[in-house]
Amino acid sequence: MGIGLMIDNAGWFALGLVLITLSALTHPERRRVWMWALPLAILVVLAGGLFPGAAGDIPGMGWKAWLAIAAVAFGVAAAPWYQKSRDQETRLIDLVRGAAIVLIGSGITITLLGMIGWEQTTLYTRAWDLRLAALIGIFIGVWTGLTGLIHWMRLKGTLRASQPGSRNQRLAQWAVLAIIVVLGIIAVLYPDMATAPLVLMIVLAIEWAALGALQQPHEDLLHIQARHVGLIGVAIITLGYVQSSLLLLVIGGLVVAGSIHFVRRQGAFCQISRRTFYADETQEARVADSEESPRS
Amino acid sequence: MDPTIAAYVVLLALALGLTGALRAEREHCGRGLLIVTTLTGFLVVAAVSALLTAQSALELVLSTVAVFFAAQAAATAFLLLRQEIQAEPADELDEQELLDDEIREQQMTHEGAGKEVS
Repeated sequence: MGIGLMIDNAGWFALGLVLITLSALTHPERRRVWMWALPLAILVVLAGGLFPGAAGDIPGMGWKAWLAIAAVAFGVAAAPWYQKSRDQETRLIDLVRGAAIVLIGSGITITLLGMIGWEQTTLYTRAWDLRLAALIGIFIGVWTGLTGLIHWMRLKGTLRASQPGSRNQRLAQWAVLAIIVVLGIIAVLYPDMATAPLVLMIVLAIEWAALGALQQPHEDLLHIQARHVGLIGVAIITLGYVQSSLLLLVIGGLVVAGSIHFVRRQGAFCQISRRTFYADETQEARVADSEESPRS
Repeated sequence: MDPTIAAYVVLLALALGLTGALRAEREHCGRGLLIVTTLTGFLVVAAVSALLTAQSALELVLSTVAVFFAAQAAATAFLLLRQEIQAEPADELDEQELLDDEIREQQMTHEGAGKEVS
């Protein structure tokens, strides 16, 4: 049985649960209960994939299943646990910082899965579409992970935003992107000589993502993070294609749709006062901290 | 997988997302973003399946690290959504209903002004 089929066996139930949940979440009284159905849907699919291995139904998969369960448990334990709060003065900076952590984790995951996919398609199968999917995954992963990391460091005050780029700098950035695309095409079409173009492409993608993330205006960070959530959706679609999973294809499509919806309309959040993100919230937070520290 | 089937499935999901449940009123757009960020937690499933099918030590190490970070990102995204939903006051007036009322009032004022002129 293929891994895509294993995901989709439980995936149909999870997909039904996700669609019912999306509908239920629009109802004010049901939200607080139905939000738990989203992680439940993920757990249902994980159980469908892991239990045949953990129970010994599939030979040679037992210890891998237990390793996966341990990695999931450690990952969940390492997440920042936000307090549930009805405080209307919760700051937007906390939301943006949380989204940055999500982008870092997702970016690393997508990059690693892209590298695994690249190794597998180069060694075992020689299909250009699978190589292209792996390459798109690596690029999106590097871009998203690094953007999240730089946003997080900017919000912590470790990094300062650079000035918006001049016209020539913007042209140079577009030229770098064009070189990345050319290197990607070479790597996909000529897998025997792909190592050097692939490494160079990753280095250029790091430079491209870092310069872009440093120049982004402070008040646009959430908007940019929403676009990267859409890119994660694209990466999930490519993973669904590679792993032959209809569930991942549908989830990726829904994520892209949600990202487009937010980028176009930019709705408010309940956990913050309805105001725009002002210029340097980090600086203000540090000033407030330094005012409090002499008292203590 | 057949690329045509994959393209049809993705287009249908995109259409469903753009026209269906995610198209909530303006007030809830922010929550919509957090909902889809929670849905990116399905990356854990892809990472776990890569771990289960790993064929070398390198693939095993990379996929284990991928599962760890995917689980961390998924948990963070859900906790952000939980914080957002818990922050909603139970007695809050619906912003879209207020906007609708405002538009209705404006229309009635215009209609009233039109009758006075005629």
